[in-house]
Amino acid sequence: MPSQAYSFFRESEWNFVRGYRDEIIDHINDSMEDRNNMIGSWLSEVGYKVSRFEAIPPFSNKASNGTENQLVTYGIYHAPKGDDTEAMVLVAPWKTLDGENNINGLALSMGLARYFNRLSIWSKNIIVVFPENGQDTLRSWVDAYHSNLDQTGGSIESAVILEFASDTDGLDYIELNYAGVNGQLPNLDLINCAVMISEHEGFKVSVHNTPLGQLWANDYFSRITTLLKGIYGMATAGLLHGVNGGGGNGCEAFSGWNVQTITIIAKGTSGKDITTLGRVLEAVFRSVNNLLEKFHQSFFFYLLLAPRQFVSIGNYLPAAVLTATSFAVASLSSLMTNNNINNPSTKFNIKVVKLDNLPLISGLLVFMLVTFTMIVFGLFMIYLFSNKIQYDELSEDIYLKITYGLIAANIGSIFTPYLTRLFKYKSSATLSQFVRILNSFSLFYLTFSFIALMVLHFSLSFLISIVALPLTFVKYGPLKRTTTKNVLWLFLSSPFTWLFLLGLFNKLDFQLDVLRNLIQYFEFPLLVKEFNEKVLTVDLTDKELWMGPVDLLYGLVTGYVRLQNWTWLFVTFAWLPVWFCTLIVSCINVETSDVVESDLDKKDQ
Amino acid sequence: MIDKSVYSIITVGFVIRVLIPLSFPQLTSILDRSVLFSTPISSYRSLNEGLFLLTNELNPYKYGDLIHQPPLLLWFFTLFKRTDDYLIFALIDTLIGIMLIQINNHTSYKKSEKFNSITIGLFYFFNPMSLLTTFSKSTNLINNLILLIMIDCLLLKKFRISIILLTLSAYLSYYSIYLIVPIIIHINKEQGGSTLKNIFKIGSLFSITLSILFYSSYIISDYSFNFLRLNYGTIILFDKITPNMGLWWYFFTEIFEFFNDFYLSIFNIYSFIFVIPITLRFPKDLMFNIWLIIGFTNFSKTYPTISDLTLFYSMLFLFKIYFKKLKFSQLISYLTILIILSLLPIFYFVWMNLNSGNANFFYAIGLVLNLIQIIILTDFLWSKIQIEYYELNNVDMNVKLSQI
Repeated sequence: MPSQAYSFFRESEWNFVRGYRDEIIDHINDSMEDRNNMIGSWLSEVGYKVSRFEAIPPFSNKASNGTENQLVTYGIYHAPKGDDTEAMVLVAPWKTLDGENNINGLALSMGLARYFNRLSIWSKNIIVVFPENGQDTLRSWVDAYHSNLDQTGGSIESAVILEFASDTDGLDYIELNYAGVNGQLPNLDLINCAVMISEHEGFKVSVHNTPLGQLWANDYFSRITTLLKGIYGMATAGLLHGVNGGGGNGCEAFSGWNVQTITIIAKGTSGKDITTLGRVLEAVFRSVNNLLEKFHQSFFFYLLLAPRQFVSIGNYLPAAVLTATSFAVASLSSLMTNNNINNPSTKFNIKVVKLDNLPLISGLLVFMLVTFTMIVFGLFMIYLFSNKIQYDELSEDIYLKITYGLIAANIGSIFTPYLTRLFKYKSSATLSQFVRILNSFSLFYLTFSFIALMVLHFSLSFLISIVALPLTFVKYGPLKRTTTKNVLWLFLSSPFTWLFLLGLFNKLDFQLDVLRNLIQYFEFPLLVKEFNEKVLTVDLTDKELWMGPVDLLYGLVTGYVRLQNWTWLFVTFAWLPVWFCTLIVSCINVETSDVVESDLDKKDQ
Repeated sequence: MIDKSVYSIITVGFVIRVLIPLSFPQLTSILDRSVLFSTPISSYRSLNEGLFLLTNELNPYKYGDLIHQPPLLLWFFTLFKRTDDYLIFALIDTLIGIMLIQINNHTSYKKSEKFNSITIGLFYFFNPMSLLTTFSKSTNLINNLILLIMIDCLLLKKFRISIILLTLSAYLSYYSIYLIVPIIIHINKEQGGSTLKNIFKIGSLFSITLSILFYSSYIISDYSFNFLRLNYGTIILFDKITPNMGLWWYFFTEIFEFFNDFYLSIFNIYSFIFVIPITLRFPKDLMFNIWLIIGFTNFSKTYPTISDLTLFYSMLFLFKIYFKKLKFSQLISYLTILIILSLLPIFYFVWMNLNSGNANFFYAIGLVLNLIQIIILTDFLWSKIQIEYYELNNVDMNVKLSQI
């Protein structure tokens, strides 16, 4: 069982941790070179094989001080008993996710590294990594580790990223981050281990930023709050966090390499002492060390409801299947001419569904053309953001203009149906069939994309299928009757609307737990108080707030190059093309019904 | 027979098959790495390896346990430069398309009961499955071509050539040997005369051709009969256990080792068991028989790839007459196949690369694919039986039949 062995990481080790901490506090503002030299000398003193890796940022961003190469110092302890093929990684970045100095995290990691070296129990190698930040730098190190580093210690089984920003001796509770990009999660066993050990040592564990006050709640409402935050967190992994926007907690850095990664963030300043956290880490490392085989393959798909409760894939996947199916049904319904509002509500008649070759082929061609254009647009954006313009203080304005230009262009294009209303042209059955095939085929393509994405990334597939749902409500017919509704649906389902909203939302200090509390224990004065404190204090003139969408777009577009995040690709390969096809559908004036007159006559007789 | 637009379809199809591998040469290795397109017995990679060994005085059939392609096939490819391979495969695939059009023209169905050549051509030449198979340079294509030429020869009543081609196909792929049952019955009926004499004639032609093929293989493989074990042993005994789209591999994983012999016999029997009943039930319609047998062997063969599916689904279009009485909508089954085929590589990726899924995911989706194939097959069977009934009893086609 985890945490069963007696741990000796106690008072005597505390002295070392304190010593390291004092040194780190003294030198935290030194140059990157000096700091890494210091850590390097400590590690080799302790007995680690020390190497240094220079991470060349693919392009610079705000966090990485211009184009300067980022240093990563890492030490490998080759376990004497082991066969040198597997390793466990402890990462302490110099800067935490929020951009603070990770003082205690660094000190504790050094203390643990020193302590681990004296234990004789290890059968897997231990690697201690000190990257500049847990984002691009760590990612480059992980990529290099698996491709071209000279000094390696075998395949990495697990990684723990430690963040502890304060310089006090105590902490209140542990926050656990685990979501990787593209819906990849660490094995549930590792999370369970960490939770169990932490609780055994007396810590409360928070998942998905649950605040301290809510950690004791474990009822229906707290669970659903965690569930929602989990889905949101996984869908936006690699996009939102970080000082510079554009994401990357430690887990995201390791995704894609089959490394089970958790980030342990120490919160608060009083309560248990720092060695208790050290004991938690030790027990996690011991548990992984005791593994004889790989992590079990059935625990990779789950949603957490509380640290100790989870939902498995069989129970939650149907949700995404259902939302995706709604598009399939809409596509079929459109194919059966239900979206043409000229049609009288007749009984289903196979003759009505008949399609001619010309509209069929032209509809498919238009669809392909739109998709191709959008894909080219998406790839061009990736090229532009990752090779041409650096995301730093200087070019902030260019980014601001591009982002808001795109949003404005997108929102503006929604109103084209009002423009096309002005042109008069003859509506024919061919045109109506063309619109029908474009509508139904694009919806089918979206269904197909959602289903393909579902297994890889449930949360993203689920959330996008929900926000894109209004696409299924779009109907065509005489523009006078359809435009207003269609414009609303198109606005609600546009990727750029959501980019804007999500970007702003990310900059607001919104906590779902607070909302839950307000609803669950409703009291009017409390509501007024929260409203005054949270909503009225939002400073709309703050530039930082309006940079939200910019940060998000940067994270999205560069996500593939930096973290292999596929979200932008999915948006430009599936969502955006279908949205545009639907826009085209709602721009065309269709005044003919699919039911041929003679058929109607027959029916009347 | 073949009009202008068909020629243009064939030309465009050929040009696509030549231009894309020329402009993206890495495409072959990408596709060849996917389990959907390559198996140990049909992959381009192992073909290249065999060619390398053969031309470097290391006969892969005499030593080692690497190459599972028949010796003559390997020898055939030594005649060309490696850089010209894309042309050969493009040519083979184009020929397959042309043969399909030819077969469609030569069938005994009435004109109104056939799709026109343009439909068949469009379907084959722009079918992503056949395009991708060509780009993956799967050697199964050669077998597909030989099978189609054989069917065409049978329709044109060139029986001797068709028997020779059948032998060649059986030599290349083993499973084609099952087709000899319907073919013997068909030829016997067509030629008339004594049944025994006919069987003897066909049998001797078959065995003479096979002996020639085996003897030449024996010479190519440096006077060793090891190739029999390497080619047919691997197919029958499922020696190289790799995941593929078929149904076998899952049952041969380590945990079921105890049952290996049982599964081996069951699966082998199963792949053959339908041949005789089908032949006896539909003695008149040879092509339909062959199609059914191809479908059942696809379902139960050791190393199926997309190329087998392509043959099955392309031949489907030769039977327009049976489209009338299907229970399931064609549109829905094709869309399902499309979805399943794109989910297969995703599930494989989740299992192999991300390690977050497992073998069950991939196998389950492969099972669904096979299930749909069987549903389509049985649906056509049902339609065929109905139409036979209509014709036999002179019932109006518009009256709906139902099973009791």
